[in-house]
Formats: sequence, C-alpha cells, structure tokens
Amino acid sequence: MSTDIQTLKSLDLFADLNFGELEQIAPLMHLMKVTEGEVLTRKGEPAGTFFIILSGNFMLSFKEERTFTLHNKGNIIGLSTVVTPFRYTGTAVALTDGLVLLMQGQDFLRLIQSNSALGDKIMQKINEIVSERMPYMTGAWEERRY
Amino acid sequence: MENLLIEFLSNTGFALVDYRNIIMLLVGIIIIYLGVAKQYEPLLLVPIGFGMLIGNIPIIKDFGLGIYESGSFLNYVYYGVTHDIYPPLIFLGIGALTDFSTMLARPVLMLLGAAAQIGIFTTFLGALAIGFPPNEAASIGIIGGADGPTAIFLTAMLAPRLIGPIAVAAYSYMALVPVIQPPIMRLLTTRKERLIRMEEPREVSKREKIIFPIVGFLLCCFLAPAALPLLGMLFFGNLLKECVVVERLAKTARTSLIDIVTILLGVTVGASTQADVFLTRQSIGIFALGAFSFAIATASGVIFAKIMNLFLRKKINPLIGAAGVSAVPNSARVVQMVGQKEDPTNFLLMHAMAPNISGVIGSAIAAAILWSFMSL
Repeated sequence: MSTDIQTLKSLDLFADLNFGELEQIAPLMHLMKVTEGEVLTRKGEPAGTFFIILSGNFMLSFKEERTFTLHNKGNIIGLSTVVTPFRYTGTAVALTDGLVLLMQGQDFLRLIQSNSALGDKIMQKINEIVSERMPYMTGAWEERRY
Repeated sequence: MENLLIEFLSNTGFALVDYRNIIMLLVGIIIIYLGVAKQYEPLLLVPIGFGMLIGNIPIIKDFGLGIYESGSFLNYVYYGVTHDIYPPLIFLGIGALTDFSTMLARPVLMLLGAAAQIGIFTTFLGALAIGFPPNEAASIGIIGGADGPTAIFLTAMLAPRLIGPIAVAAYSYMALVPVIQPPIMRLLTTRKERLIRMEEPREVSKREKIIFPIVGFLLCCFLAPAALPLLGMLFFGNLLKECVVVERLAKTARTSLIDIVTILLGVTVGASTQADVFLTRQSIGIFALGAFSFAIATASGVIFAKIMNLFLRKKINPLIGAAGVSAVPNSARVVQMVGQKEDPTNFLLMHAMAPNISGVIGSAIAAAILWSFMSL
C-alpha cells in the first residue's frame, strides 16, 4: 500500500519538500503494520530497507548492548540503507503494535537517479539525523554526561 | 519394463552429471548468495545466478532443452541477447529514469565521463598485448565501463561466445563499486582536494531538459553511428520522461519494461554461462583484465579531474571523477561516501551524478567506436 502526501508532509524527513517532490516519493513509500516483537532490522545484515515510524514503540540495540527506544512519529530506523556502512548497525524490535512507512534501498537509488537534487536534499536531512544520533550509538553521549 | 526403467534412470541428471556441472552449479549458488544475503546488485545477480543453475543442469543433447539448441524455450529468449534486443530496451528504461539536469547545469563535467573511458581502451590494448584476439580484447575492455547492458551489447556483436563470463564480470564489478573505488580515490587525491566544496549547480529549465535528448542524440549518433541502438533508446526514453505529455509511456519504460527485460537478460545470460566457456583460463584472464579496466577507469576520472582543476577557476572535487564509470548511481554514492568521511557536511552526490550519467553515454560511444573499428 503506497502512502498519501499529507502523511509524508507531516514527517520531519520530508517537511521541507514541495508538493511535486512529495508526489515522487509517495509511490516509493509503503505502509506496513508491525506487531509487538517483530524484528525490523538485525545488526550486521545488509541494509536493504529503511523505516519511518508512524506509531508504536521500538527498541534499537547497538554494540556493547547499548539500547534506546524510538516512539516519535517520524523517527527513522535502518538509516544504513542509505549511508555507510550499508549494513544495519543495530537490531530494531517493535515493543508494541505499530505502523511504519518503509522504503527499499533499491527504490532510493532509483530516486537519486531520476531526481538527483531531491535525492541530495533527502541525503542531507538523513545526514543531520545520523550526526544527532551518533553520540547515542557510540556512547559519546554518556561520556559527555559524566 | 526393466529396460524402460534403466533408460529413464540413464536420462536423469544424476546419470549425466559430471564434475564441471557441479562446479558451475556451485558458482550459480554463490552468485545467488551474493545477491540475496549480501545484497550485491540483487536485481541482476539473482536472475544471473538462477540462470546459471538452469543452464548447467545436465540434460540429454538434442532434446530441445538447452539454451544453444534451436527451438528450445531458452534459445528463443536468448535470441534477445544474441541479437542485441535487450540492451537497447534497458537503455530505454534508463533514459526514462535518469535526470540529466546536473550534467546540463555544468556541461564541463561531461569530460569526466569521457575520461573514465580511458580504462576501456587501455585494457583493450593490454588484452591485445597478452594474446587475446582483437574482438575479444574489445569485449573485455568494455567491462571497465561498468555498464552491464553495454558490455553485453558489444560482446554479442564481437565475441558472442564470451557473453557469459563478460556479463558476470561486468555485473560483479558493478556490485563491487563500494569496495574497488574508494582505495583508488584516496590514493590519488590529497586530503585538501577531498575537502573541496563545489557550488550548487544552477537550475536547469524544462525547455533545456526537453531539447537535450534530441540534440544529444543527434550529436552522439553523428559522432558514433554504431551507438544508435543504445543511445537512440536512451535519449528516446529521456524525451519520454522530460516532455511530460507521455508520462504513461515513460512510467512503463522505467518500471515494468526495464524489469521484464532485466529478468529475461539475467536468466539467459546466466543460462549461457556454461562450463566449457566459464571454467577456462581465459575466464580468469577476463576477470583479471576486467578488474584492471575498472581500476584504470576510476583512476583516469580522478586524474583528469585534477588536470581540469589546473585550468578551472571554480575548482571541482577530484573525487567526482571516479563517478565517470557508469554504475549509476552507485559510484556517485561512493563519491559522496568518501567525500563525507573527510567532511561530513560536504555533499558531493549531486555533483557526482553529472560524470556518472555522462559515463553511461561515454561507455556506449566507446562501445560503438570499438565495434566500428572491429567491423573495418
């Protein structure tokens, strides 16, 4: 099931995009129901899909058993699909039933090819999210606290 | 009854198999594994891998089953490979999918797409030097273009016997872009060069985008008429995309059509890859020269970008030269990745797309030139 423009517009990742750009993305994003306990990504596996949370709670566990939860609409799981190392760096499990939007990595590559300016915009936004999340993933956040 | 049973058993694959079938079946399984588990170019490697399983099942000769047996199902489908039907259709889909605006915004970057083709001609000469006949040397050289359909197109014309190994080598190296290119890029550039920021490309008007496929087609095909099937379809596909009024056709070309043709091409190329052509010393030579060609193509693009910087007022980041090999958009993504390692706020993806898509045109022209030379 593909998704509607209004839903996309409400997500932080796509908030800056215009209607025409959202129209190009809509057919590539698919709505998926998630049930409690379902594993979305497994650490170390090739990253082929990324997910944007619409509802539900999700736990991400990284190396050295570092974990955090994501529950806000617009949070992203599986960023390694579009940035290095192109291999999931964490395992994501649904803690409750929920709804996510998913995009295949192959579709993202086609998007870059068909509209590189749009691909570039999304990559920049994803890069911001990665740099915000990096301290939590690597433990630098805890070191900063103490 | 007993005779019938013995005859039946003697016709099974178990009775007909030899060790070369087993090796090829294992190669097919490894290719499927790389596509599925490692997700290396899965859209291509999965059909090719399964095709290798189909093509290497031991069967009775002249039973009308094998890909090389006239009248068999596989033989009919393989006709699209041997008669160069599939590669132009894939180019139609690529044209209908690709945005050329980054290239049009700064046409000078097209030179990088041309420079990367040096790898093709260097390898052609190298293959000649080590004893490959000219037609096979040309087909091996084209692997460096990192463009599967172009490699198959040229090989079907010049050395049809080698379609299997050359296609497998070309697609494997396309899948290995993130592994092969970064060390070469880092080796040939300084940190200061990798940090170069490029200015935002100008906005390209709709009119320019519509005129480009027509003018581009005329220019390229007057220059290299043998590129007509590939570039004719590429530019036609792009016109379908950009003119907007035939969106239904453009959508079919870039989705259903390209997917159907990829399935047919992948399965039959895989099925044509049989022990007698694949398990040879020549195949090792093809893989080694293919890797060499790909490495030279990457290096040529980077070095040429550095040379261009000697003359350009607005410097370009030489990393984008590596995207001059086709492999769209994987090599542009690798440029982005290597650049971002030096400076996470530097975005090279859009800039790298310009040489990347001109590399598609460049490798088709290179193939046409080689084909023309071989036909003289």
